[in-house]
Amino acid sequence: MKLIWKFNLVLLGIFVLGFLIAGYISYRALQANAREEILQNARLMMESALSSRTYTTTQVKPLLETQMKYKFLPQSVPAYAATEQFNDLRKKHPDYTYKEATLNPSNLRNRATDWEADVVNGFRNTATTTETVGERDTPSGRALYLARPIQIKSGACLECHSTVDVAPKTMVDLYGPANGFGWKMDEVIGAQIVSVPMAVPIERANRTFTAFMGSLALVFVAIFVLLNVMLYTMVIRRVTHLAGIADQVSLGKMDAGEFKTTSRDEIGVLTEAMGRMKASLVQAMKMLEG
Amino acid sequence: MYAWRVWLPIFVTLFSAAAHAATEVGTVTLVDGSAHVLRGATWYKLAPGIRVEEGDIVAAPERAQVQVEFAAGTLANLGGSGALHVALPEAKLPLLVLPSGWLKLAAKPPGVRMRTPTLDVAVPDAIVVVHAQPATVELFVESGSAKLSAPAVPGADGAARDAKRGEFWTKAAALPPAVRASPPKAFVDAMPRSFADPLPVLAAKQKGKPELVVDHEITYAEALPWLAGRDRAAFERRFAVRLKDPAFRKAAEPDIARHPLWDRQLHPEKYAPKPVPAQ
Repeated sequence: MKLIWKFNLVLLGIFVLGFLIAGYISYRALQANAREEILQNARLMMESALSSRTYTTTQVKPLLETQMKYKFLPQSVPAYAATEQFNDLRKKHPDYTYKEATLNPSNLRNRATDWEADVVNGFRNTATTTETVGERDTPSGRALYLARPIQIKSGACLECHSTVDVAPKTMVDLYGPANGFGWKMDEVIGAQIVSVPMAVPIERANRTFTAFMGSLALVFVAIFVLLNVMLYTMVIRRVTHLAGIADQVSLGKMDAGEFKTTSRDEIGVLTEAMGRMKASLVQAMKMLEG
Repeated sequence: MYAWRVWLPIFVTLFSAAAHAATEVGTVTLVDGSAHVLRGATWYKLAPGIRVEEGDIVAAPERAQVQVEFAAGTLANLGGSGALHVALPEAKLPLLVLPSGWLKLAAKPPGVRMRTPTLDVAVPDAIVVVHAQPATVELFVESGSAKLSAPAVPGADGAARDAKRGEFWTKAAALPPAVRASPPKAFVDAMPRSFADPLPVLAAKQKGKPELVVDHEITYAEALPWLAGRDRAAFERRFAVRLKDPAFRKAAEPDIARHPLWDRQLHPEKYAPKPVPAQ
């Protein structure tokens, strides 16, 4: 097998191996970055919802206390405020969802679905868990969800959610006496759940991966071609020329050609050496004949 | 101009046995819309900062709002007709009379009394919203407590009832008072929107003391509702000065029999002692 084929086989093997390794590493890294980006988005939205709850509790609800004696205003409820704010966001970004999934809510729109109930029960069963991240399939594609427990830590919550007798009458008039009561201090009654679509970041990661691997392949091909050109012009062609002359000299044809070179590299040194060897051989032949 | 059904009148009358000089009892701190005050028998244009005197009647049209703040910190806000009446000096509490309309009252100790067509209310330290109509009164106790009793009429059940925070009371003329745990939606929907919020305390912001600007003298039609109320005698005496106005006298003449004081003044001959026939 010719040298260049051996060289190309080895080079191809190295390129393929490097390509696979680079592809695996880059794919994992891009997917991890995409997931992290999704998770950061979810955390940001969760914090935004929490801020909305705090604003409602500290600034809005006190202003509505008198009005609440006449008509229950759900705008005074932190969960309602956070949900409504998010629903407004959803008008432009319908794949994002926020829900304060509750096992026993006053407002039935907050009642936990099956998978949400599993999340809530997970928090109820493990008191130390403060956050859960998971993935699930939705009609619009794969989604990542971030969940945090809703735990009763303030007596203010029980003003409306302990018993019907204690709750504001305007609230009972609106939501009825059957739902949203019986909550207890320190009980995990639900979970804040933010769902963020994974499609866009994942697709972006895949596109980046494709572009990266494509570029890598192009670079590998270019290197492959350039190395072949360099190998041929700098080594193989010159060695082949040397071999041809040496072969002729070995058959006694002293006029086959001169070992000439202007290069000072290893082939050039070999050429000069072979030139000197031919000259010595010619002189030796002359001495033998003389 | 001021048809009774569109007026939201508030009046302050003071019957002082000791002094006839008018005493300032409060300040108008909020006027939204075109409002007037009747002092004596003359209507003046109302503006924030005007001091309310004993005997004043404050009136405002539909969808207007007038708030009066009293010396003890009591606030009376009219989103409809209302009346503020300071009772006789020997009485302990000022008296607000609300013949019709909406009134939100935030009373501070020692409190106020309120009189409506079918219900008398004592409000020591509470916030109440009242909707008075000629035959029915609705009252909601927003905070605190009040004592309710029917007007002292023969055959009426005059027993006082305690109205607690959150309770909604209704009193129709011929029926006993009825209570429910919260105000009905119809009441809340009809209530002036501003009543759902706390009444603002604005007295400290009133720096000036605007002068009253005369608008017009009271007409007989404007005076008639007061002349037909429970204090008709007092108002007959108060408005008697208007009998000098030929137009007022002409308007009152057909009903003069209902106003004995005026009848005696206009037609003294009716009341002159009849000569004893010769024996």
